[in-house]
Amino acid sequence: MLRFLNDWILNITALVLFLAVIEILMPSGRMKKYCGLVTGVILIIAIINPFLKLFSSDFNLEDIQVANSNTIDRLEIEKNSKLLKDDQMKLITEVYRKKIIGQLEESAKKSKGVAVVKGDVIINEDYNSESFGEVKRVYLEITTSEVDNNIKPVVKVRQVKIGEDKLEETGSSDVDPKLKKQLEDRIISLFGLNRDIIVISKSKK
Amino acid sequence: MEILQIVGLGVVSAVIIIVLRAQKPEIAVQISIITGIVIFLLVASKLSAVLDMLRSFSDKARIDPAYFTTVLKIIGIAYIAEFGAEVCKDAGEASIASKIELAGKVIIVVLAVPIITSLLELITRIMP
Repeated sequence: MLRFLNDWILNITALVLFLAVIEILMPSGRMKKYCGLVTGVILIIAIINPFLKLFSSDFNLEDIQVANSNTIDRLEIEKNSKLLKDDQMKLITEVYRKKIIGQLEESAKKSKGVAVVKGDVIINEDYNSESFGEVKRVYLEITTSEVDNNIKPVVKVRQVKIGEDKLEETGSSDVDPKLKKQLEDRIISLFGLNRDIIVISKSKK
Repeated sequence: MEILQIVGLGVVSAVIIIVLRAQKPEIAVQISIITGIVIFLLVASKLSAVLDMLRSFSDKARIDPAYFTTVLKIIGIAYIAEFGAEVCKDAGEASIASKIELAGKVIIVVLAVPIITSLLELITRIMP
């Protein structure tokens, strides 16, 4: 018991002296009170700690402190990684969207009578939901070509009057139903989408 | 007598800063920063000796090394934050100075939280 008291008093005295020196080193401005708070808490811990050792021997203050410190670090890292994840998911979603648009345009170009295709898709960008990445809407703006290859144009020019053709092109923005169906079928077979979400329009150029 | 060197340096730079502030305030701020760093470097070697002494002292007194390093870190952060804040105040940027102080306070609190929670844990263990 005497040894315990001896250790305790020695520890407190040493700590008080140590904190007194630290107090001299502290900056004199507004930060002083924050440093004072910490040193005060340390002194209280030093005073209380030996009592706990009397009651339970398995208590290790250093472990608790390390655990608390680790918890704060873990929370901080989790928060930072979430921010990074958000950025990363945005980039991934954008790359994915561009890839789908590219595939759409490529597949649409393979259809006969389609010269230029401009595609756009709306996808589910909420990466927490189960249907993340699901295509919600597909927009295709196509420019039909009467000129498909080097041979056909001659025939087409003979059959269609240029004036009428222009009128038709500028006058209506409807796509030929046959071509539309063909494109829709192709998109449905490629991406497994619903027909309702596909919007195909004719370019106004 | 290092104190004479430090005071001399401080007074000379203060005079230079006063003279320059009217003509070239941007140079005055730079001189103020450099003077602060030079004075710190002059006492840094002595400070490290004091810290070594304190470390051996804390080992002998069986003070937890985690507390020792935490206290030193906090004092270091407080000094750096104050230095930055004072420089900004001298340059007339009081708002930036207050933000630096805020950052210093937040970092000090982050370092202090494990110690405070240890104290809480200690008290809850003692209580039946």
